[in-house]
Amino acid sequence: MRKTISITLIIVILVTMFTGCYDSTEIDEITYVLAVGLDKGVKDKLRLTVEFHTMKGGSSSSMSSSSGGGGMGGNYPTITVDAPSFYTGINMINSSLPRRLNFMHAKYLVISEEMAKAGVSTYIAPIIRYREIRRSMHVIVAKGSACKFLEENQSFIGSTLSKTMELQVKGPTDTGYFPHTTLNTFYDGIKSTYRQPIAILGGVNSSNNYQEDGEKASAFQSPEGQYYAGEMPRKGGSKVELYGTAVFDGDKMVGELTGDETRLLLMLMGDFERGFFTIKDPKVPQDVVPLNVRTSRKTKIHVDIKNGKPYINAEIELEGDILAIQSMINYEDISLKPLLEKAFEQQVKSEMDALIDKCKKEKSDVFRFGTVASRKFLTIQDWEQYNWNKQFENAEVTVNVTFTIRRTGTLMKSSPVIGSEGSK
Amino acid sequence: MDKKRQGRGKELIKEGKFGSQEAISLITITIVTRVFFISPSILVRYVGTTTWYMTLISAATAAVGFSFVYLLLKRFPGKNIIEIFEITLGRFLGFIFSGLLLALFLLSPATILREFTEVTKVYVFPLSPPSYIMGLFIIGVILLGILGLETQARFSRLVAPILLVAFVAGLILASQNYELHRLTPILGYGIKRTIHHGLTGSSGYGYAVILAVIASSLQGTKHIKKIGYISIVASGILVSAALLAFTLTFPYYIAEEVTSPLYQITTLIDYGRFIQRLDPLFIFVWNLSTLIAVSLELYIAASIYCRMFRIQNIKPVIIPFSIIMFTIALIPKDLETLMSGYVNLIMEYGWTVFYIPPIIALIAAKLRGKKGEVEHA
Repeated sequence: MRKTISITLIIVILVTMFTGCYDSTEIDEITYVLAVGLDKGVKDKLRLTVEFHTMKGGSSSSMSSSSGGGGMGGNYPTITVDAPSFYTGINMINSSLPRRLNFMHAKYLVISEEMAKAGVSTYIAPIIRYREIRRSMHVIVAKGSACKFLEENQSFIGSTLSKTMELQVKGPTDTGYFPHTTLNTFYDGIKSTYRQPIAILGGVNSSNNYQEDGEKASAFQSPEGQYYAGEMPRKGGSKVELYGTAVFDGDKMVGELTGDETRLLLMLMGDFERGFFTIKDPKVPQDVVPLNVRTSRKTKIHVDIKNGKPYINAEIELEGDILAIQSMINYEDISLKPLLEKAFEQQVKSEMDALIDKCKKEKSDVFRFGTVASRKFLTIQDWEQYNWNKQFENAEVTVNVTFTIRRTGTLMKSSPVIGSEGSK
Repeated sequence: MDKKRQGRGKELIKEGKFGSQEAISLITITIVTRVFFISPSILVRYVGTTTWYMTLISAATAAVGFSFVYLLLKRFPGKNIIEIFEITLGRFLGFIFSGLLLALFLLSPATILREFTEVTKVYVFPLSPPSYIMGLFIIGVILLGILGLETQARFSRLVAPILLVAFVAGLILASQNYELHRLTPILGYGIKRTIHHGLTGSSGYGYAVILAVIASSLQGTKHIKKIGYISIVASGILVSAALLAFTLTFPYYIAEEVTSPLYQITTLIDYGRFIQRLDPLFIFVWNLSTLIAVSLELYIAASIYCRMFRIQNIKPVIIPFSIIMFTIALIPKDLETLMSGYVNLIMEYGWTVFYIPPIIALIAAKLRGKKGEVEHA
């Protein structure tokens, strides 16, 4: 009898306690934030923008609504508030919403360029501490304002913005035009003794750089990746553009890398996977040869420290396929192939040297050379005393690039074009 | 007189009998559970990048310490450590030494319970009051306590493979964020510091002493030796693997900031749209193992108490002890106090209670020529 009473009592207590759990939340009581934007405020220190899902049915393009004075965004509106801190900002926004904001599925942390240049540690610290925010979200520095960036951040293909955002940040795998930076790696970077942090460079492309009319370019102008985010000469598509890298020294943004420079950075970091490159034809400079380039071996970095000065040697091994030969010269031939390979190697090497010099001037080891240099030190005290981030500007860096053309695509030979005037 | 004293403790509490696998599961889970909470971050503050091999030094030291406990048990076959303290050191000193063990086994589950509560509150249930989380948890602890040691042992044997698979799977999946350079500088804050904390950190593995308290439930001294060493080695490997994973994921300057490093590691797992956000897997592992660890340690405290005061029935003691543990767990006003107080105290000085009294008892037994009866298989 006693046993029965005890078991009944336990079951009753457990059942009542579990159903009334303090933290229980119904799914329709919360609103999922997809992106957080941070700008410098006018009325207060911080301008906080959140982009969230309204949970309404239908596609974003078929609906149009604005929320609380925020941006127009169909199913994905934004709300912006000037607040003294991130947390107060959340409370202020929550006070104007019937549902509570939840950051568990937030994918982007967008920081305005102005704020990034002033220093982000005071703004990142509360975010990293917030239990709802996952360190796997991506960090973007927006050229211009973060608020504007998020207002324009809408789904262009398909109706789900969260999927669009997830796929968009996967971009570096195929192009290498921007780095893969999560909140975890960014936060690690601003405190790192091994390296300096980088972030994805984002911008709103208003097609200003796209010229409908004008003098037509007759020859190869410049590499396709020379632009910064928001500057690509294009029209149509999503207005939001991720392109290039924001370079930091500690918590302050000190520079930007173009899309092309970002690819070289990724090669040196060992994070580059593949991408299309265009080089000038070695024999006919007004024509180009596009190449599909990928990393063949992991980048080897060797660091020596002599008399306190770091000497860095980087070995980069790439391989690729020929995508097109505009000049119709038979570069597929075994005797001409090395010409193309050499041309690409030289182009990459010279651009890499320029990139390293640029980052040395910015005193920012974004290449993570320090992660190799730290092996030379036995204790943390010695390593911290050496101060790698300071020593990097004195480093002597030698880069060796090897490139091998593996395949020539669906064509094994380039035959000349034959016209009435003969071949050309 | 001595024979009379030796006989008095016999058959005081019927704890049942169980095998080596059950005992190894119990001890290993109890030791490894600590790595789920704030201890790894504290270790990083002390030794930097070397936590993963520092803990192997701790395990080796604990194995040496356990050897003394084993020698003591071998000298008194069939007796548990409480009875041996009394036989070798007399009622008064024996009582004090047993009291020290009792205090440690009350403080230790209270510490884990509070760590569990704090971490749960930080990461999972921010709105639930600590007493609510603890209260619910203690219901499970009381239930396991009342059901007895044998049930706990068999339960831990049942869940051990599941916990092991989930634990190892978590560490393997987290490997996408591992970076080797985070192990450098390889000597951390210096080899001296690592060895010093490795030696004092042996307290974490001192819970193998539990075997000396529950000796009568096991299959003899030889089995205790085997169980003790296997538990320490298995725990050493698991804890070292967890600390290695933690060090490979977070550089030393970040690692010392994180409240629950292993939980944080699982939140970073991201293999595309379908395999990500695996923290519930970790919560499952940490809940079950904490339940086993807290239940066992509280039961051991109650068992020591009953043997000290010759109480025949342990069941009525479980609830009062749970209330005492609950109260102790509520004392630290915040996580920092818990870290610098309880956790630090057990990590740094726990070994003095685990190993020094058995060594003194062993010396006293040798000097006074005390010996138990020969064990018959």
